[in-house]
Amino acid sequence: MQKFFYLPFLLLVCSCAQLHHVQLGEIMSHPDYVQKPFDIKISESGINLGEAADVSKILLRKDRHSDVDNLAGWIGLFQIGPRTGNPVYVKDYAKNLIHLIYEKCPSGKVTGLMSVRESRKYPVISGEIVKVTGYCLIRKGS
Amino acid sequence: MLRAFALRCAFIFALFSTGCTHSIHIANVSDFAPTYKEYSKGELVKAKSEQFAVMGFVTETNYVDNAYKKLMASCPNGTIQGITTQYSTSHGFLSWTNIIEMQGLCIR
Repeated sequence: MQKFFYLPFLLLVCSCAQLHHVQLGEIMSHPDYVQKPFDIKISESGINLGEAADVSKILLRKDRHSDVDNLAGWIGLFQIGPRTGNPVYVKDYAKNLIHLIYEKCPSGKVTGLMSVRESRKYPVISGEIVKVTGYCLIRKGS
Repeated sequence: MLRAFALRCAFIFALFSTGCTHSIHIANVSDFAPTYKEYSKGELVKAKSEQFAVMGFVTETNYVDNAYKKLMASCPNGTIQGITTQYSTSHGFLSWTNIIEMQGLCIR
């Protein structure tokens, strides 16, 4: 029972961020404009099947461990292919990036765009993040 | 009692886990220069191309070029600003589909 006591604590401390890709665009500064920073972050939950199976083994009897492995292996057959971070169950969660940028900067005077793809990892689950930061150019005095 | 609950949870988890999963590898946004136009001043253009792979054997090897050419063709005599490029994979049973999706604002 003691191991269950430590589980929430472990979930809190065992997280880390992992960078997969970063790219920067053109940077424009002009004396007539002020640069207003903006930040867009889209995140979806990813699941690590191997870690989920390991956690299940802690809760189940030893004679059921092979069942867990078989189940994880069977599910894994449906999840074959290249992956960055953990797989997610939502397909196009970063589809509307351009609309989100225009929400932040309706004038379209956008500069210093930085696109980041990263993961925030916790035991079993992860946050699969697409982040875009940039600056909206606003004319001085407007 | 706890084990029975864990078993039920594992079963429910397994049931939901068998669905197709996806992975985004890259999501990038390009420049808005030199046009810097509002959304209403342009037209949203999109291009998508896929590569199906079974056990590592691929079908379409020019899918990135195809998406690129489709996007260019969708805005003749214009400039495309704020191009978002998303490279992702949809996982399936012993197979997967690589997807490249581009969209941007065509300014004429």
